[in-house]
Amino acid sequence: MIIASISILPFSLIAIYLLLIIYFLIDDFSIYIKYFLIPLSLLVLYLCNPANMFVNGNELTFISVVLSCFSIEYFIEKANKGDDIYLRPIAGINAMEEAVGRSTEMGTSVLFVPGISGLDQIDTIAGLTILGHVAEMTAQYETDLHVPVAVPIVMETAKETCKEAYLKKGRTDLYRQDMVHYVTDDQFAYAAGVNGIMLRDKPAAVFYQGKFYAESLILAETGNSIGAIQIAGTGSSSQIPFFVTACDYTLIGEEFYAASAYLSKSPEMIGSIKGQDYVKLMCMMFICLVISFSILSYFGIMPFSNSDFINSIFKINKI
Amino acid sequence: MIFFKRQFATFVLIFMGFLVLSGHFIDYEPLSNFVDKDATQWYEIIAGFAAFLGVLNLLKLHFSKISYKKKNWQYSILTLISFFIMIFFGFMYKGDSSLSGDSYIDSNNNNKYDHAEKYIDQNNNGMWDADELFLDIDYGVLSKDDCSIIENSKWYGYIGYSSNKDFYLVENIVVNDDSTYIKAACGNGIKGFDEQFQDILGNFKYDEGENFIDSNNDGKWNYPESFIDNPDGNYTEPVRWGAHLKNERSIFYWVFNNIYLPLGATMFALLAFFVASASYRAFRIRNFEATLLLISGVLLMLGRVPVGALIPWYLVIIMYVVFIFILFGSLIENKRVYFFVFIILNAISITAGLMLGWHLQTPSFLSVPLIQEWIFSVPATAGSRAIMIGIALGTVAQSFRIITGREKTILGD
Repeated sequence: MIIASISILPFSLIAIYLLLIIYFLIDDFSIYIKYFLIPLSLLVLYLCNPANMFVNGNELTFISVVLSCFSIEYFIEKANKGDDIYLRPIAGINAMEEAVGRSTEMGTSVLFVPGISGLDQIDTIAGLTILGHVAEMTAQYETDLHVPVAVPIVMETAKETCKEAYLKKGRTDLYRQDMVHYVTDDQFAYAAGVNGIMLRDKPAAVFYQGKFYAESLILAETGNSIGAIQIAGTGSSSQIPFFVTACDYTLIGEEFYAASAYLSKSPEMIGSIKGQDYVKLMCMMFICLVISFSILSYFGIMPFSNSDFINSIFKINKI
Repeated sequence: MIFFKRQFATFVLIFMGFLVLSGHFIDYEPLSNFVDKDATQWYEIIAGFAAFLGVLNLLKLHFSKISYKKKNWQYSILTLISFFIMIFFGFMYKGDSSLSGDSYIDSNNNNKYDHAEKYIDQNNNGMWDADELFLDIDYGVLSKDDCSIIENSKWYGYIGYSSNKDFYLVENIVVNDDSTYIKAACGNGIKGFDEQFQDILGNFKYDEGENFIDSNNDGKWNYPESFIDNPDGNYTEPVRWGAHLKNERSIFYWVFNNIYLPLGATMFALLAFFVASASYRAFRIRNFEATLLLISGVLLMLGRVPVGALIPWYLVIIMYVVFIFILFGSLIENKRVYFFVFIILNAISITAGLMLGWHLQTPSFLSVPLIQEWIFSVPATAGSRAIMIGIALGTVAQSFRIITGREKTILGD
């Protein structure tokens, strides 16, 4: 009996989630369709798997993706309708303008390092979106911007991003073609090149936003030695401790990905962060649930081994 | 133009985003092939073309620096010289002349030099005959009279033989002028063919050999292909363009191995010094968190080295007391009291340990290697996983914003 009730738990969670949506949104029929009927239909379709059109073994991933996407979409729509969404202040993001201002006051340049990975890494894309905002600030403050890149395709994207940022601020006269320039593909040669730029130009503000590997500490320590204000952000969890040690501000984990939305101040972007927070809340609830089950299993009240379904849930999915 | 830059780019972004996402869930082979292979290859092709843009950008930047004698323009000269040296040795000059290989006449037009076993051309007709000695790669010099040996030798061309002891039959591939083959018997004295050879390559035709005995001392293999021999008497394969980059005899490889790699290693080695300075800054006792970091760091470092296992339990107790005083010692203002409390706490802890028999069996919380293992596997892993979950959620939200066309900064919007 207990096992049976556990095995329907994921479906119960989905049902609770959907009922909550109905509870809040029943007054608006279009929202009811969008956030209840569509995701529910998708889930039912996937779980029924007619004509074996879906990949077997990815059910949990699919459920997670659907729940995450529709939660984020819901809060984006809420934000678009004018709901006031509070974002806690993130020191690293707030300090970005301060850092550019400092460079302006000191009459030196701003150095932006987008990491050494290509556009196939989400970190690089997140870094480039932040570059767009930093470029707007440098355009506004009339400060020089240097973006040395390690991957040619990133160089082209970064060039477009900077050009549009200067255009947006009406300062195309300040944009230079060599603002974004290619250094080299090699990891340590790139680190040496960027270190050289730092030591020769002595920028007052250095941004490290992207995917970094072992070169992170070499760059950050050199930046520290020239006394630059340094703001780092990366999705490489192994490099975060190095940045925390050597930089003034570090965007950790989801802060890095939220930075662009935070800086844009656009309601729909901020709404997506709130949606993401709700997904995080669901994750926390799920973690608590798993801990409770583990404790019960430890005392032999609900042994996991008796339920193949529960065991299958905790297996890693195919992707 | 604006349409391609904005609307079309956004459409491609959204379309490809959803296509790739659906590829993970829809069980349709062409779609999964596209997601796993084609899409990645497309990216690599585009990125490959972008490499030219990178090179052009580099040249433009440094030529412009030199032309206008901008600040630190001298470094640009060095960069350009290095660039062109590598281009020259990479694309124009392979280096060592032996990389070109020995020249030969490609008799069978297969664009490669072929291989055969050694033979002695007794009648100097420039070809292997049935009754001539040949050097079997495994069994040495053989003749037609050595059929019992031949039976066991690796006579590469044979396609079967009889085990009848009275009639040692070895079937060799024999090519006639019409490219057919016949069976040749050895041991019964029958010699019904002119061209007997070992079909080493298994292509049912005669190919030229690499190693040979130069019977007529003309310095080359006479039949069917010939080559101009290097002093070693062996045919040397030419090194192809591209492959020369990994050939130890090429200048490109020499420059890469002796200049480029040491420079990279030097940069990597600098990391050790940077780690030391960063650790010093991180471990300075400034606040509660920094103190915790210091304590964990000390325990981890001690636990990871062999000497950590030798630290006795009473020293670990003293270490614990020191840590407690690092954290809360500031609450005691009187230095004399501070000192006495420190001594008494140590004495009480060690006495209690002796009474509990810790000197006989050390509990795990007093073993530095076990403590470091616990720190590494429990609090450190928990913190790391929390960050990983945050990163994963951030990635989902960021990806969602991009594939729904809301985040268009990377398109320059």
